[in-house]
Amino acid sequence: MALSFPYLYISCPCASETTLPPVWPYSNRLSRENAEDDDEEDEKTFDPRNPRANYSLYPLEHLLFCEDCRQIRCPRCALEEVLCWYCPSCLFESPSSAVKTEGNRCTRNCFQCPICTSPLSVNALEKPDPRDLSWILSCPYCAWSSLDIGIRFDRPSAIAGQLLRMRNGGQPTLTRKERDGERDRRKRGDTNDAEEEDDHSWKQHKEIEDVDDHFSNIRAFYTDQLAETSASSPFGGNNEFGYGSPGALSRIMGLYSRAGRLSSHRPKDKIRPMREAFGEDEGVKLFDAKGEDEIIERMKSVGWEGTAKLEQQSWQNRDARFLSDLRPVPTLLRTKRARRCRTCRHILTKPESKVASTRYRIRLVALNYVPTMTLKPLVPSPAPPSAAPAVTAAPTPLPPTAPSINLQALPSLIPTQFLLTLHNPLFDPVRVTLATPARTPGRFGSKVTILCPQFDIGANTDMWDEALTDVAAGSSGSEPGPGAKSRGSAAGNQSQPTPGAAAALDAAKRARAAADFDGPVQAEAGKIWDSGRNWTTIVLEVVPANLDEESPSSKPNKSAATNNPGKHDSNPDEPPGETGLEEDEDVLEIPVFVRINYEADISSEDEDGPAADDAVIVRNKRGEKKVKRELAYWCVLGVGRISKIA
Amino acid sequence: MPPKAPKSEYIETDTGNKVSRRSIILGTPHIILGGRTAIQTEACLRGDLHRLSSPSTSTSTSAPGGTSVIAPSALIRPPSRLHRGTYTYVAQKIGDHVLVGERAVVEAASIGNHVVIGAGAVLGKFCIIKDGVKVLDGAVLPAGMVVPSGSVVGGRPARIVGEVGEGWGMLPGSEGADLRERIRAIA
Ligand SMILES: [Zn+2]
Ligand SMILES: [Zn+2]
Ligand SMILES: [Zn+2]
Ligand SMILES: [Zn+2]
Repeated sequence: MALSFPYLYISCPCASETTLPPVWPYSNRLSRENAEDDDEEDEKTFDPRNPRANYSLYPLEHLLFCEDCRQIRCPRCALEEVLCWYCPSCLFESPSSAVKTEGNRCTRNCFQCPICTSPLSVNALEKPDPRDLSWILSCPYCAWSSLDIGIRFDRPSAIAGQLLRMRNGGQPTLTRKERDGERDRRKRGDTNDAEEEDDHSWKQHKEIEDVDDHFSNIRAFYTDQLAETSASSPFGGNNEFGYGSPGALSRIMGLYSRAGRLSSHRPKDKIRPMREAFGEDEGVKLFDAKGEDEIIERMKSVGWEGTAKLEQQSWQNRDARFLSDLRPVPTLLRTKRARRCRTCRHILTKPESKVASTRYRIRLVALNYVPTMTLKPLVPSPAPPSAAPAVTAAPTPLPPTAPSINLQALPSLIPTQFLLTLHNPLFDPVRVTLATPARTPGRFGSKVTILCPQFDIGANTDMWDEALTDVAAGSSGSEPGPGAKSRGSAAGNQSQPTPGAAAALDAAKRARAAADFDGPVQAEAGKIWDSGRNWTTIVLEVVPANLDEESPSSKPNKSAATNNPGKHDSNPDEPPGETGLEEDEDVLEIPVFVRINYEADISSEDEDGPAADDAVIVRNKRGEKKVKRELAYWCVLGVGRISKIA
Repeated sequence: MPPKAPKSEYIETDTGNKVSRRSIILGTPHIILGGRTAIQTEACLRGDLHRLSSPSTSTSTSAPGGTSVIAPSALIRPPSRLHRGTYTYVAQKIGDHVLVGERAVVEAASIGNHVVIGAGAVLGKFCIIKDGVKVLDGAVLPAGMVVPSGSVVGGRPARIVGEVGEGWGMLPGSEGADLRERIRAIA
């Protein structure tokens, strides 16, 4: 699938921890002690092309935030708890007790097509006589229907139950009682006239042979065995731990049995090994060459089209080699889950457990704590002097003639400027420090310069402030950039940022005032581009790499890659070029290290309890007690695809 | 066609709907726009489809909700079925902040809020899409499919392939979020 640019992925800081707190608090203490020695990991530049990066990069809306650890939490460092099970088709909740006994599939009318997985619908099969109605399951996507396997239903409800009592072709299956009765009858029959019935009974068995029969047979056999061995026997047993031991068997059977555990209370010293199952009635299925021949014959007659794909076979819970063996697949249940912090076990998200509700009781998502970043190409200001007045008139849309930058084809070696806007979701002003390697990692390093690596963003105060500021500034454009200049300065005056922020804003204003004299606005090093209530825009300059020339700094990486058989470099003679480019190697991804510092109001926890590691309590100029907080993480900006020099 | 349209392409209604002059909207009395909805070039809304036997009753309404975007060349039409010998169209409901992608075909019975329907996706008759769902580009949802909230569906036929993040729709400008800005930008 084509990537859509620009994008932002945030690397969860847990990626640098080689071991996570165990899922269960009491296990795995050893690995935790070993984990303390990799501090130098932090010093390395994050490489988005490293295969490990795939496991730590997430879009912002997938990340959570633990308020107690003051840290970002991703699926790796959060634990999940199932709140409820529900069917995605009928949206009915399944109680967890039902999930345990009936399995994790819908037991109502929800089935999926065994051919294509589309949800099946229950349709009436209309007949001339309205009293003789019957229903079928049919696929609205591939036109498969349960008539293809010879199954129709008497009622349009409780399809799962009806299906359970029918085998393909429409014959009824035996109920458990019938099965047991049948077995007993055969047992008695076998002892009486085994010889004459031998051939006949074998055939009869074959016909009703089914996974369920099989299981019920073997289960009955072992139940009998357990009953026998629990009776006193002359030999003292010491085989309690073997597979054949009664204890192990009753445990194993209890695992699969729906009817609960088999009773196993008997004196321990009177155990003897049990005999193994023997014969069809005891659940042993002998290899049968005739059966194999039959399958081959069947393959001949139905042909390739009549056999099921491996994928289709895997959806079935029993052997199904032919299309005619397939059964409708009951819909798999889904879950609603809460998430907890893996370190401190506090709840991070908890949706309401009702299936229909989309509300959350608790939802600590990272985007309420971490600045959001948006990247936009900076359209070069029109150079001719006649265009300069247009820039000063605030709401003028960008002239359509301005060359737009195609992010799918960034020109190599041509410095391109981007506007990076950070929105602060916090109610305190923050200071942001950005760092990025001068060259992006990888074989083709692009030069990256952040023109203003340290700046302040105002607090996320009341929404109305911005609206009022908008009116005051007489600007309706929401586009940050030269057009919104007056508005940006006005916002800077009103939002009462920290002294540092004010200084930065002043500097920016002065820069812009100067720029106004000179005509078109130019990005300047050390100056922010624009800012508003809770956002600041800076300029990022990129010189996309030349894809025909590997950067010298990547040579050691290259030799490392040669050792990796999966890499392109397995053929060292191949010249870098059209064929030498690995998948997505032409994508310009910039790793950016973000550090956020701010002073927050003291919470009650910080006052009485021991504060978190990074919390330093300070007094600001007005004498209020504040707690200093810091958050730092790597993120990756996907800028675009570099085009080759023509 | 002239190189540049003399008038704006969009007609803006009192409730802030932006309707392209080049969109195709049939049976307007049966279509209720929720306000601040954009219907883009060559998008087609069929409000004219209704039961032939009783044309007076307005059983067939196609109703995109508020603050939604119907992208170029998308087709919205009410679902229909043969029921007891009559061919019936059933009212269709589309929620708020729904983005219907380019060339998508929507015959769903209902679509919740904060739903993104990818380009070229096909939503079969009587599909029910709950809140906060993402339909991937080119997905084909079989008729009658129900998509629970928070799911990502894709493929032909569509299956649930994942879940949207907990912050779905909360980040302004991101997928599934408030479409007001986007609609404001349409001109
Ligand atoms: Zn994590
Ligand atoms: Zn169901
Ligand atoms: Zn099918
Ligand atoms: Zn925590």
